[in-house]
Amino acid sequence: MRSVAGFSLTLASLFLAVVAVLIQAPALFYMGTALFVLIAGSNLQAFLAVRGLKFERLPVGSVRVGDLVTVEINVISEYKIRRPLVTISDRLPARLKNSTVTPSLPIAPAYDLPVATMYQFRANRRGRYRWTGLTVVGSDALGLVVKQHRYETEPVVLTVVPRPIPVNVVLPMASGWGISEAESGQTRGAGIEPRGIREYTFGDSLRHVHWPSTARAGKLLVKEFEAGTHAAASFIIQRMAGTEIDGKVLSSLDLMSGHALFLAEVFLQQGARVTFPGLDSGGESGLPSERAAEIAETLAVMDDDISASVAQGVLESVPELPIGSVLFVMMAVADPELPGAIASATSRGVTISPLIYDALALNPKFDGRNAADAAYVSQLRSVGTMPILMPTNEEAALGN
Amino acid sequence: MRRLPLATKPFAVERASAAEPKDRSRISTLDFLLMMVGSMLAVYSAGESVGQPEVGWYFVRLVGFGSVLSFLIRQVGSKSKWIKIDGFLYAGVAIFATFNVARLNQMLPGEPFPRELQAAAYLSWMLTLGSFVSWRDGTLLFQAVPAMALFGLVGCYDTYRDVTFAFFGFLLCLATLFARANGRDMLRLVIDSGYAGRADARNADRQEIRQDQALYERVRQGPWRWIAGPEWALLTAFVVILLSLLGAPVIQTTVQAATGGLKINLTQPPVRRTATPTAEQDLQMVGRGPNTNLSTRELYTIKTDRPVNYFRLQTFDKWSGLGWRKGGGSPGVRSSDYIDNPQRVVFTIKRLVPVTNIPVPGEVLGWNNPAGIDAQADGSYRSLFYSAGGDSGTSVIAPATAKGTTAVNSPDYEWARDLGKIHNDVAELAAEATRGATTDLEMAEQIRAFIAARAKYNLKAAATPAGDDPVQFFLMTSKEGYCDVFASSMVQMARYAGLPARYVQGYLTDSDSTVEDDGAVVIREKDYHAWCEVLLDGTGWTIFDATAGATAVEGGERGKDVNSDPWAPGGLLRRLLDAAIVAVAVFVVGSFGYLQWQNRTRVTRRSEVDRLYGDFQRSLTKLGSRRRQPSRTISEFISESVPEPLREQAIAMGRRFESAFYQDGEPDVATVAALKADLSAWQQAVKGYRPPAKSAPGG
Repeated sequence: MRSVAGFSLTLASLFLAVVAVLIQAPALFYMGTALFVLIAGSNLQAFLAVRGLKFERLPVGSVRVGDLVTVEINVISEYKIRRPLVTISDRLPARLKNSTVTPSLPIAPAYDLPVATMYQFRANRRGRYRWTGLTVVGSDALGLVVKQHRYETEPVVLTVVPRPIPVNVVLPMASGWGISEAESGQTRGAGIEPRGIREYTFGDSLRHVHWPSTARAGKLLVKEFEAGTHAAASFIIQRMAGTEIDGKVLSSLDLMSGHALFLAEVFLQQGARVTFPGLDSGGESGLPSERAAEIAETLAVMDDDISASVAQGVLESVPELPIGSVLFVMMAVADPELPGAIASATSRGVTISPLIYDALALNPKFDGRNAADAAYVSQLRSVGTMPILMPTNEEAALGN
Repeated sequence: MRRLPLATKPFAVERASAAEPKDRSRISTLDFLLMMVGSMLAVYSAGESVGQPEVGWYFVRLVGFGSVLSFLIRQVGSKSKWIKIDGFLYAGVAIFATFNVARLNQMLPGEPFPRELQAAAYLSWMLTLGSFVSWRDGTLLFQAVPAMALFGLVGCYDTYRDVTFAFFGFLLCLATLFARANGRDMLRLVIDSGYAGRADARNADRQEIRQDQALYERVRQGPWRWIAGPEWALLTAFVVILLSLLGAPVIQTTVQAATGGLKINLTQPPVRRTATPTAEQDLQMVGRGPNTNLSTRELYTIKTDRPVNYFRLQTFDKWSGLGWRKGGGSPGVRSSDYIDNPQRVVFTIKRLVPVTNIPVPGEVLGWNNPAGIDAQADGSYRSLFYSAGGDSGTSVIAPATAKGTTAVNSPDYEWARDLGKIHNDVAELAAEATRGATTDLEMAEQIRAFIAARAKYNLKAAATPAGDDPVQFFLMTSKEGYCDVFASSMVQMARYAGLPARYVQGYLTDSDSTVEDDGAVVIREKDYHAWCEVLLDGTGWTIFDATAGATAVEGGERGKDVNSDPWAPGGLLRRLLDAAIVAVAVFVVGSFGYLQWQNRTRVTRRSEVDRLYGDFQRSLTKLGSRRRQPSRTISEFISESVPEPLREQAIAMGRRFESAFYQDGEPDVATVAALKADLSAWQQAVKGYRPPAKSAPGG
């Protein structure tokens, strides 16, 4: 309203000036001059309000999808002047821009002390975002004129990791006793509590040495956990270029990463080793929470940008996996070579479990080869796997 | 960058425990007061400009009453939804004023509002009625629009000099009001930004947070510590006024010099010439540039039983430095007593146009039908009534050949010797002109001849620069002018010489004047004239016309009908040219405004989606939902606030909007069209939705 008023006043001052010149009415000269000076002064004040500022961004870190992100920016004035209030319009990447961005806190930048402004938004898309620069929006004290000025700032990085999407699926029996124990329920939910102490053997992590017992016994003793360290679960996610299916809100990759993270956290809690062949190095972090965070970071930046198919991924990763481990293959687009690859890999003692996403359920306009197609599922069954159809209900995925 | 200590940190809102928390985000008593004063100044100026101060006071009282009523309504209904209808009501009263301005004017005291001034009447009524329905920021600030237009109009009329000061007062009110409104907007942004604590903003009553005095205090001590707020706005307004006072005269002089005397003559409101003498009491400016109001338009016919050329319309006695004022003269004193051989003149005056002033020959002794004819303090007459036969009466004049030699020396006429703000140069010239004169009559004659010899008569003479004394400028610099400066010079110089003198406006007929069959002389607009009268013992108020004998500049002679020269100011072609210039100016300003508006409102598909989303949100509030907090996703909001039968559809709509928002780049045309169609269907569904009836107690 006030900016419209400012616009109207500008027009009024112009009109009064023109009329004053045409009819030479003294009062109009005074009024026109007053309005002109007012508008000019407002422009000057708004111009000065957005100039001579320095910024210090506070790190944002990483958040989960759907979390509220608070961006804080310290602002300091280079000039010792009083200013009208200014707001900040950050140059958020397009994928982060959404209707949940709040306006920034209006501040009056000071000369002697930084003044912090802030705004908030919900991070609705996973990924790693990096942006720099911002726009300062300021007006005069009357709010009649609005001016903007762009500033370059140090870059800020925000990682939006996927939110684990709980999934209730029957997982295959694995050869490793860690997973088996999980399935039997004996250690379900045990977490990282040590089962007992045993002597150190080559290959044990120094992180697991129990120093009080070692000091008492005079030899290295390590903690043994409830879940065995030999159990392993691996995930291959279909991310060949062009295989990501856009859903109404979430894409197939978003769903896969959410499900994969949930499953990985469950396995890690049970003491299993979780890897993502082709995505990360296998994870050396000792604590399940650290490894889960590592996985989340990895999944955050995952994109459908590789040339290898899931079949190639299976063929390349299976030789590296320990015997008895479970390999989950998450896919939405049918890969015709996958049944053959699975057939050749099962002989190596790795249980392969295809997790299938219905591409048509995600996007009815999908016109490629749907992995959930009955014929394709039959092919996967024919090579000895038990394909699991994953839920694509986005509402459930968002927790609504 | 080096990390610096923080001045502020977000904090959780502490609930105000005070019984009556001050709501900083809402308009207060001061805001109503500011706009009331601003509006009052505007309507009062309008009343003054049309010569009817009582009308101005009438509007002032109405505005005051309306503002108080609005304030009370605001206090009572601040938390009610119906308070939001003020915008519609404002539009309603504006439309009402448009179509009923004539009826409304009948409520005004005094004379009917002249038809030429209906624009001022309309704006005054809009402002006045608007004050009754200005309950929120938007309407309160919108009052500035008609007020500004009204001031512009008053400035165009140029009949009320003090409008400039009224406008400056209005500007101070406006600046403070806008600064306060800006502060309120900013306080709302503070809440929306999440500074007040996200959890509170989501779950608590937003109103409760707004009313938290602690929030305002904290921002004032923290992120707003260095703010240039309302007090700076007020200071700026003072500086603006100061600069205007200093700069406007300079700009006016420069512009007038640059435009070479270009001047468009608006049709002046009738108040300035003849219709409403009260306006003329304010100030009769002199030396105002080319006089283009002298057409052959017939105003009166005057029949006299002996030859008379000068007909008085009104007289002025006080010199203000810029023009003449009516200071009251000396009512009740008959100057005809000083005429030795008074000659009776029987006259009949017919008014051919709707004017109230009656020009008279000499001093009127009596009217044949005095009912309705008002004698004014300055000796002039006016009448609101018209008689088919005209107004007739008897007056006295001194014999044409008689001239008294000595000025009247009576305390009753001391006012006629008041020098006022006479310029030193004029005084020196008066001394020079009267050198060697032995009688008062000789002094007056010498002054008249001195002026006639020194200056040239020119109806197209340039205006006096702003701030200059018109008489001094006329006698010392331009040495060109027409009757008003000739007469003013004569009066001032005569007074300096110690003679009682007055400035008279009226009509002067000559041999070219049309004489009708019955002997009545036709008075035309071009006969308008000003002269000096000196009070001499033996002849009473004696006419000294300094233009007599003065050389006329070619093309600027007196009595020339401006309509005869199409290119002369006021001529047909010149009027067309003026109209074209105005049209071009309006076109340029309008185009500028249009382009600016286009830039502001350029519709992109992205903004179209935003707009549609706004409609969607509004439709949600119709279902009884509160406004969505920025902290909540659309889905969260819908799932919590939309009733079950519509929830699925609302969620689907919300998803479509989210998809449109989240996608990279502009949404395509088809997406926007689909959104529109879906939104329309949704709005229909909302319209048809009926909430389930509450079951009766125990039922």
